Amino acid sequence: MPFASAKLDPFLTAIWQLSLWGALAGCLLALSLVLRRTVEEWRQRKAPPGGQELRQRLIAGLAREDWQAVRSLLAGRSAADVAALVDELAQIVRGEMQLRLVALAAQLGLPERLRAELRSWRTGVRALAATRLSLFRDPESEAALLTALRDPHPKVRLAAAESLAGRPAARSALESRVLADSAFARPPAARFWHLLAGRDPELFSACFAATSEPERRRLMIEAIASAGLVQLLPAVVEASVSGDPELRRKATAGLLERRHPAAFAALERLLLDPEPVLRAEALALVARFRLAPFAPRVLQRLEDPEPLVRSRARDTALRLGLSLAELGALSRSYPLENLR
Amino acid sequence: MIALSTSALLPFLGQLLGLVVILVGLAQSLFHLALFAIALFALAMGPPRAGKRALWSSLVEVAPPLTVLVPARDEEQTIVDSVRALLALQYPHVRVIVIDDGSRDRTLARLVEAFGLERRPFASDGPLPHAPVRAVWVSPSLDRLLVIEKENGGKADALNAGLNLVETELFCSVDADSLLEADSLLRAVRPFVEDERTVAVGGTVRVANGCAVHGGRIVSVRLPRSWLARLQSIEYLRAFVMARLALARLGALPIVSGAFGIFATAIARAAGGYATWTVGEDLELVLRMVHYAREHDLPHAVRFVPEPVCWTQVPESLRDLARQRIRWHVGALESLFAHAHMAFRPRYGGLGLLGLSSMVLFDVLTPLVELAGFVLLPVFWWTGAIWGEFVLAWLALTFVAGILVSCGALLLEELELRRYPRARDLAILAMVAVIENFGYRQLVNLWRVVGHWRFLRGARGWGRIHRRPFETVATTAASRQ
Repeated sequence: MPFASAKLDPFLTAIWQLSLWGALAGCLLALSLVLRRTVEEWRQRKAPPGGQELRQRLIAGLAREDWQAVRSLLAGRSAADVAALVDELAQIVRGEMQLRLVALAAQLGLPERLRAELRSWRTGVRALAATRLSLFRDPESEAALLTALRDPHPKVRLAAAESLAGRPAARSALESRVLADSAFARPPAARFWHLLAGRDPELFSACFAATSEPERRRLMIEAIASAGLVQLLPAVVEASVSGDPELRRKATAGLLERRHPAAFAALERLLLDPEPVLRAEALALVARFRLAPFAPRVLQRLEDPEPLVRSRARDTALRLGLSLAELGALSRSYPLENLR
Repeated sequence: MIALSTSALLPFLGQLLGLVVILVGLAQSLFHLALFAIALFALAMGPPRAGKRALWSSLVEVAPPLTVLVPARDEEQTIVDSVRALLALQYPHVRVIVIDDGSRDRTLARLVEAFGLERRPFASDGPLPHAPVRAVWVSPSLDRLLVIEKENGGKADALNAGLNLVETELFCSVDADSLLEADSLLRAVRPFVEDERTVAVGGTVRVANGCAVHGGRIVSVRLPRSWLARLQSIEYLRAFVMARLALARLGALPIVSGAFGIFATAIARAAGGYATWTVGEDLELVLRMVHYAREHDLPHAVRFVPEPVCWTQVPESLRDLARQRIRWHVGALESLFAHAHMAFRPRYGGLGLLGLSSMVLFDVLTPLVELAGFVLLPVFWWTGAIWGEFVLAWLALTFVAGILVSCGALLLEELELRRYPRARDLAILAMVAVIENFGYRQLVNLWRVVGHWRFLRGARGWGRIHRRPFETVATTAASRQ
């Protein structure tokens, strides 16, 4: 009886020892994890605010009728911490609760502080203040933001414009500044144009009608497609045949995103564009949107004189599920590439 | 003569069973410890990714458009919060399709009220069969939301109805009682961008019970107050943070959770969509997609990304939990038997050799052996057929291995996700890692054996699991005071 015999003593001893060492290792591991966290918590308690508990209590407090009571939770905290908390909560709460949050922040003197920060010598501080002022709609804050539209640093000007987007009182000032300022024609301004297209389509349309600068129009075309501004989509269609290659690419991508009836025709044109980079980009769009009806066009591009386009055509064809035999059979002009 | 044979047979059977139980237990423990080591290695090689801003800027131009499919039946308590959270996801091009699978409650009405939906007639001509669609509902102001109202046909049937309408390269299936973290899609889509072979990606699923929710977002992570849900929390940690990470690293991941998974639309459709004959449609779809890709010589890979987190409600009563676990096991058995030809076959790579094989060994056979061990070894001990010290030693080894693996999962959680904010939560989880070995683990094995029985009898069906609304910030704060 092998399992009923004392001959098994060494075996059993080994099992017991293994179990004991295992148990010890498990206990030590768990203990070290808990201890590490406890030390972290203790350190955090010494440091001021934050924490999920505070955020949770603030949100719960703002939902109650006596929401003014949550002010006591912020007592004794530094202005910077209060600003960070309000900024964070504004991303979470909506509707009535957001209005209460703004009122609370105003009671705590946050707008004054942010307006003062708009005069800071540090660009980052000014830009953050301009972003955070988007919550406040009082005339002083709006005036401060309008002043910030002439800040020496483009980052601050963009932040101020984003905060002003959608405010009726700031429309005319915003329109003249964003059209005159070259910062709004550079890639970092893409976010601003997206915001404006969503919040104030009318102002966006006016700006679009007034600008002919290619860089600015590129960003705006992208925003039109992204926001789905139906009334401006004809402009995107028009841009898809413009003389600016980058504009043609963005317009075609935008039309595809919106599933516009003109999208396929624009893509056809882009596939035959004189610019090789654009032909390659068109193939990338075919792959991205998995446009199986374009398979014959993709196969034609296998004969493109540019290696970049041929290579992209091969990748796209494979992504569309075309077989290697089809690719090999059609790519006759460049047989060596078929070996890759 | 008969008496003599019986007296000789009993010790022999006891010894034989003892040997089998020891070997299976040892193999399972070693397998899990190996998974822990591999997960640790995977984490060291690919630590958690960059912050939200870097993630957005690196993926916004290249992330393919994606559709989120949300099958919902009798989810009136949570559906509006879930859909709000989905619409607020940080992703460049995302569309949400909710499929109301013949709800008997006000699921559809709640959606119509909350999003101002308008009814449109609909005639489906998609390639995947499904129960009749009554209508589709669209929002005049939100073109990214579509609701399909259809007759009840089960979760897989609902997903097929939605899949027919997917126009994007990728789709994501999400349970209606689940909440995705805002950046979860961006994080999960990365393998599709980085590796063209990717056909499916899974993310981590965590227990939402006890967490506070506001506007469809988790605003405060807490451990559940119910011990049953806490036990499941540690189980989910083990399954997702450890096992799936390790199996994906080995190219052997056989499952992408139905609660949150992203799939390549073309391959999912070509493979025939979701199977309606099984309750384990998530496992079955992955197996069928891999099978299809392998048979058509298409490059394929199933990935797991631990950082995208999906929060889901777990049952808080034994009855609901039993139903869920039995259903999962029946689903796993159905899928395994349907794709048995893939197991132990090098043709199917790591999935066939390791993923499916380990499922057969440890999910199908081990519950039977372990339960038999727990029942019969004490009997053999009592009758004197085997040595008592042996039984105790075996029990000690089994429990210690279980505790070690769970503590390992906790370590991975600490290194990787750190979603539980307080030391107290960790201490409770460590305690749960010990407690679960005394009763809960055996109970789960018992449910699995019941699952075997149901599977053999051919019993099907989802059963109804009671859902509670998510805890709002106010209720959580009140209950903690």
